[in-house]
Amino acid sequence: MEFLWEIGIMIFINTILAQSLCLAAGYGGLVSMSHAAFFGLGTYTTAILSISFGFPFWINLPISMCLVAIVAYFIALVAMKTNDDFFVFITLGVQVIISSILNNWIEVTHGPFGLLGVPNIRILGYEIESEFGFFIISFIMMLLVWNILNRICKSPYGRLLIAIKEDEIYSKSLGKNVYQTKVSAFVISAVLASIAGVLFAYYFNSASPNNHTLDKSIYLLCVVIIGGMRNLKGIFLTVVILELLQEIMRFFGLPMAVAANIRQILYGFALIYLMLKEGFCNNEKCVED
Amino acid sequence: MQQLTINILVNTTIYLLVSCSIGLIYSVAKFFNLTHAAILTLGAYLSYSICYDLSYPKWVALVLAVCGVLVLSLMLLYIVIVPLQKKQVKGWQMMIASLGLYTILQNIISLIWGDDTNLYPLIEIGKVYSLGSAYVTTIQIITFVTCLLLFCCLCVFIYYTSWGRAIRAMSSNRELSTIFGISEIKVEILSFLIGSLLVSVAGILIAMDEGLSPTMGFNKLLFAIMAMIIGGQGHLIYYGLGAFVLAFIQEMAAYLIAPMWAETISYIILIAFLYFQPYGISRKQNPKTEV
Repeated sequence: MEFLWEIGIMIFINTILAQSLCLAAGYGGLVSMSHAAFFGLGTYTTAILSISFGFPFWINLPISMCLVAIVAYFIALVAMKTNDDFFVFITLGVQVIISSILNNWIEVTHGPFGLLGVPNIRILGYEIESEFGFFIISFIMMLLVWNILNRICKSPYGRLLIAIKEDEIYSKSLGKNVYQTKVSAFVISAVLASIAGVLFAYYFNSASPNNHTLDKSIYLLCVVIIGGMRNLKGIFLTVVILELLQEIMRFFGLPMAVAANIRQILYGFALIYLMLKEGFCNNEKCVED
Repeated sequence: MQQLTINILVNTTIYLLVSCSIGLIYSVAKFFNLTHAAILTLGAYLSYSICYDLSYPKWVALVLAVCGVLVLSLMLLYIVIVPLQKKQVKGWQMMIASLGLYTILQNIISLIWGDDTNLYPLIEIGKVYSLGSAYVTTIQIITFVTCLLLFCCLCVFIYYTSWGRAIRAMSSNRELSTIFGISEIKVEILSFLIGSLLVSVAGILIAMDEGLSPTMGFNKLLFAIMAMIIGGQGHLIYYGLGAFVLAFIQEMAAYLIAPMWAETISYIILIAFLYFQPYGISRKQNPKTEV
């Protein structure tokens, strides 16, 4: 039974990550390879704050979000000046830089060993120790983030993002502030990713740089593309399918490394197959079950 | 200081070779082909396998590996890249697709040859020459000479032959070139083949120096693209300048600060370049698409 809660929690955390990337990449056209970096910043901020200073969950969450917002804002200021090709490279560079800092800044992040000893979440005096409790919390957070994203995407702001993605120059000619809109979309998506980071730190009671590498960014991008660039529900379904696939592959009895390789091959195939079949579709329905 | 110079020179030539190969493909196909990294890795692994597992002599292994890689890149071109281009997919979307292709190939390499780093002693490493206070290995000399030789051959090909002229024409204006009778698909195939040839040789050289690992291609390719961006488009020599700047920064950062921060600092410099000088040292701007 605990196994089910574990899979569920990973599904919810990955859904938050993928849906926040959907806002930037699907709606805003900002294909960012640095999503795992913001995820990592959220995780590490929470870990450092709760281990060194002992802050509780409801203080850690806003502080992580603010810190990631500030970092994402400065990155966005630089990155939005470039066009599509080079934007991907700048975000790739940002991902590698932040990953490298998390891995190498031994004094603060303890390098490859990571930070251990993040305490459990305490809500109203009760310590959430069981998997089921955390399952409920992550489910609530996922619903919250999904709801926020749904409202953002259906609002005039979301329509403006779609307009900017489809024709930037025309939007500018209509008098819309394209630069500010893109920066704000990037920052919002980073902040939502940091929420997933906070949950991750509390679930594993630790922070490690191995989960926040370029591979994770590529995985998130694959999920967004496979699920449909603007399809929040499709992205949730894609995450469910991919996580279940991971567990099913475990039952085949393959060694861990081989399973990981085969999984990545399947991601790549799915990506290319979808691109060959439909191109980068922007419609609502992209996942065929 | 002399050791630094030698390291910088050798790294410059390797980055130059890889960036020329990816630059050739970028100038014709107009997207960064990240699958190139897998071709690099595959060239190295194939030559290792043919040499050690099948016990062919070293030079035969090299030639066979390069041929195998060329065949594979032709297959990839026809199965994936041409159909995607027919769909009018944009540059960065092709890059994401090529990233997917890279993931597939890299994991196939991992499945066949294992995830570990292997050593690849093709030539005896025992011979170390000393120039003053610095040490040069045989492999470094071979790398330096081979890369420069291939670069000179490439320059001669691009600037003094009619096929090279066709490639230059296609890279500057694709539509107009087809009107003048240059065959689009032939030029694309040619640029892919030459690019794959160069990068598989570079892969073998890198493997001789550093050993084989399934992910070695991606890192080197990113550095090569950095060298390309820093140098800018235009004459091939700008790739050399970009490669030199990159190698210089990396070795200086490793020497003055710490080796683990060398990569981070290279990426910071890349971002600075993309922000202040997006067209590189040559400052040549490609004509933007029409409104």
